[in-house]
Amino acid sequence: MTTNISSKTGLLTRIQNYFEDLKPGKFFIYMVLIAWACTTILPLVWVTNNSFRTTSQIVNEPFGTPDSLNLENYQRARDRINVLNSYKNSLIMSGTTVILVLLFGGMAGYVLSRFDFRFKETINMLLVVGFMVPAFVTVVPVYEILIKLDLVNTYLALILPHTAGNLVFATLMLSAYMSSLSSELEEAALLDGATRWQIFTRIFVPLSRPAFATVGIFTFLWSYNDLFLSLVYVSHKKVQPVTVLLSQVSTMYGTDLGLQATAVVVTVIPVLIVYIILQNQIIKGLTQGAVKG
Amino acid sequence: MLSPHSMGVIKIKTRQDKKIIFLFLLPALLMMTIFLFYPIIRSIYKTFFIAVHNINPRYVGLRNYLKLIKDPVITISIKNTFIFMGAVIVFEVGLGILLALFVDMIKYGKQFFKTVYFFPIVMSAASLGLLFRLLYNYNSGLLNSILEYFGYEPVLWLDAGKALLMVMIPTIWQYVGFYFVIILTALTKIPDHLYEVAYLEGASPFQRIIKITLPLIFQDIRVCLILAITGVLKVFDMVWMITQGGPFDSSQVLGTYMYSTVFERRLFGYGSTIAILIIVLGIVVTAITNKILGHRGVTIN
Amino acid sequence: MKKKVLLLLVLALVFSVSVVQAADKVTLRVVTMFAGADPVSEVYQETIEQFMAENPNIEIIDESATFDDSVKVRFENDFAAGNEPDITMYFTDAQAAPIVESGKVVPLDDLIADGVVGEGILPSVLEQVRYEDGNVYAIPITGFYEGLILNVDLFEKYDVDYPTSWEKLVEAIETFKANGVTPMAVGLGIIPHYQIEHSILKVGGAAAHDAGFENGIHPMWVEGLKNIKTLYDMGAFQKDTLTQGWEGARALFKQGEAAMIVEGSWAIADCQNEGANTVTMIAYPKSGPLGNPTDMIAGFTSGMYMSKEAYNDPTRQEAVLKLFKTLTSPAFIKKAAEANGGLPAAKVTPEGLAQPYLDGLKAFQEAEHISLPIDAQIPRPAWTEIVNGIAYICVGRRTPEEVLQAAYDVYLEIEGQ
Repeated sequence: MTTNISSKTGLLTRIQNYFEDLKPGKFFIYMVLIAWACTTILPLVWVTNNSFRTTSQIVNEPFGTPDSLNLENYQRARDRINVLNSYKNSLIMSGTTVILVLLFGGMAGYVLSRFDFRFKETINMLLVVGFMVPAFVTVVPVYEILIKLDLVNTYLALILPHTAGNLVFATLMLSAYMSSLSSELEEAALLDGATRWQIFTRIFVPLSRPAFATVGIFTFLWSYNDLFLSLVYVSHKKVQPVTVLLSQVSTMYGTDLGLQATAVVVTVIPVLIVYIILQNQIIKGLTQGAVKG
Repeated sequence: MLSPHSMGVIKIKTRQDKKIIFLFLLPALLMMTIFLFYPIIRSIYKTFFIAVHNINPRYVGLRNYLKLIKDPVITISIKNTFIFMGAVIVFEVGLGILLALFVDMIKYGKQFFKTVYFFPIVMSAASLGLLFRLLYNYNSGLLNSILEYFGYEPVLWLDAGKALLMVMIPTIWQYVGFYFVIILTALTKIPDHLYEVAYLEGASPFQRIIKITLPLIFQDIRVCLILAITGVLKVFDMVWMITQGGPFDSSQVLGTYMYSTVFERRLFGYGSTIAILIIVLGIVVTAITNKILGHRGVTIN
Repeated sequence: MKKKVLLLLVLALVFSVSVVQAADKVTLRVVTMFAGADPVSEVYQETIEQFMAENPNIEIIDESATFDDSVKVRFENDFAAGNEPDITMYFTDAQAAPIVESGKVVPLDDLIADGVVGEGILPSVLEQVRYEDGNVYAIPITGFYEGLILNVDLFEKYDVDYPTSWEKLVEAIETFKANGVTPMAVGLGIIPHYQIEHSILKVGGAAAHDAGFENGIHPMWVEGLKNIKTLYDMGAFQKDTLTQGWEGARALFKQGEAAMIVEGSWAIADCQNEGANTVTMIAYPKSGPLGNPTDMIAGFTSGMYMSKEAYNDPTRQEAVLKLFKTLTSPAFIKKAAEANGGLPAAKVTPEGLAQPYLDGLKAFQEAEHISLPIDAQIPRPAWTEIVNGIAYICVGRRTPEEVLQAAYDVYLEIEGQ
């Protein structure tokens, strides 16, 4: 009992001390950060809230609160697609895409950041071109290739195009990050007779861990959220990713707003989990530690 | 402490290095050639044809390009896209950098802010588009409800004068978190001892940011700017969900116009011509950005 | 790290080949629009499951999906690349070209004449889906009718007559306006909307409506579009009509804030807003000298196609015919029509329809002439040009003549003239 109270007072003093230390600058910073946080939290709260309401309730009162914890929309989502199987499909396809993108993008980024060679500018330009290509330009030719290779409705049908599509961002990001890393270790390793591959895997990959994590996060996100290509390349129920649920809420017969909100909640959860896991890699100080070890 | 960027780059010395460069670039370039560059070449070919529903193409020479030059909606879209670009550079990237620097400075709640700032990016454009339509709605929309509560007349938020602004706000808002995460990542490579030295030398926080932080993450900011600028040329889903480019094409941007040409009008040849325009604009604007920014930057030594 | 990568790559490859078919079974790929929020999807699933139970040697791979842009892209390319499903439900109007002209679907006239398929299908319905080359390639399931959906509660509350004539429509508009009720929920800003075809039909008559662009611009189309501007200037439409689309219009009507909406039979259930509104459907009123008060826009614009590949394959012909007959049988059509309230393509009477559907069906049966919507009759690019011009016409920035000329130019361009 006493320990409880003492820890409580300890916490209170800590909070009190904190506010006494708080300078006007810090206070302003917190106000800005909290204000922005409100704008990002409330929409998710709104969607989650609506996932417990019926379409009619949302139409009549878009910003109202639910009468009760109504799970009907979630049951309907489960009836419509095999949620667990779709989660599995999504994770396999987006997970493999992330690994391939990090591997290939890391290699390309390393070379672009550390070497000077004749076609470097051309390659940089090609990356920009690759970044600009809209999905509708690639969808038809790639679909033809996939049909020829008999890959339609397999996991690779989505993994390969997504890997190619995300490599541009990955290469740009990773080469930017690596370009300002210290070259001391690298030169020392070269003198010790290390190969380039060893330098890449033993020095640059660990040093760039935060950048790899960030690229991994966004590659996962974009691959996971890409409804358009998945509806074309992996339309079969057995391989469908979970986002397909989002496409199944609206027809000319009407839009099921409750189910739409539920679909958002159901699809957002895995991305947030992946984000929180990978985001822990984006921490200062890892740099030094990783190299020593 | 900080050395010019060029020192980190290795000039090719041996044949061995050439092989390394080739082998390291090969997988990425191969994937991109098959899945990105080959489709572009196919689509350049298509610009010389008229093909409704993408079938029975009929050769029309340069007609699609002439149409592009004369199309008044293209002029509006380009103008709107460049306005959008300015706003994105200042607010999207700017706010992203600012919030990242702020979060880097604070002690408590870092993890919280890092997590919640990511929320808008993960939500589908369909649901966010619906949310903003419900905010802007003339009849009992949230903004008008507030106005009416305080005794003001309701406003047509999405009329021709305001539509572009009203679609820019949610698009920018959604992607601030993206640049926030990227800059936050860049900040991790700055070792604490650099700050400690600066602190001992009596530099103010503002000086530290200008003298140490920004130069060190310059390459990352450059990538952010290029991503933002080229991203604007492709902006599409949020605008499509809220206004579909209307009214009177007042919020039309190149991305939405290309989409409606391909999927509403089903003119694949002309749609491909717009896609080529977008790619060319992307190259030009990136080249200009690189020219302005140069290849400055420093490495940590 | 490297080993993990390799392991996962191998895993991905293994999983990717896991979708293989058993050898002794006949496999059929079917794609319909009966998926997701479509009201028929439940009935369809039951039918498919029952079929598989009765025919254990036939495996059905159902790839049904909500039809959006990506699904259309998939179809158009599946047919072009020889990856077509064995049975496909797709449009039969101007959008059918990629499917039919791929040469990969069976012309059905002979099979229908021999009684192999098409049992009980109404001959007039088959005429509507006849392709421009003179063949029937698809058997429709259900059709639709369009008209003016009224919020009966509001009409009763303000004691307004149903708008069965132009005068009564104007009167209704004035009364509702005076009471702060939006007379008509219309989204003129975002496509698609149904006001265009109704204004042209009811101002210019069925002959004008069905004229297409073959003989140039029909003068009554100009008058029809002018009529939309007249209604706009009268204040008949919702205040934000230029910034709304059909979803925004429907939402306003569902909230009980608008008295009328031009829509199709597919929208009736949604307009009732889970019982909050009492609604009915009537034919859109005659709005000009040549219009006919009873004419309606209605018809069949989708149907089931069968692939030549499956039909010409001796090992699969029996199976594909069996499934095709099941999915186009009067029994299935009846169930589908009961689920979506549409017009049945076969000689069956749907049971248990709600009152507004009965009202709509009655109006449909009384119609002197039935027209397919204009967008089913002219090429999509030309139609989109008209649709995008409506907002400009309403505020006077472009004239109906200019908009129609632009659409006609597009028509000429794609027809290669």
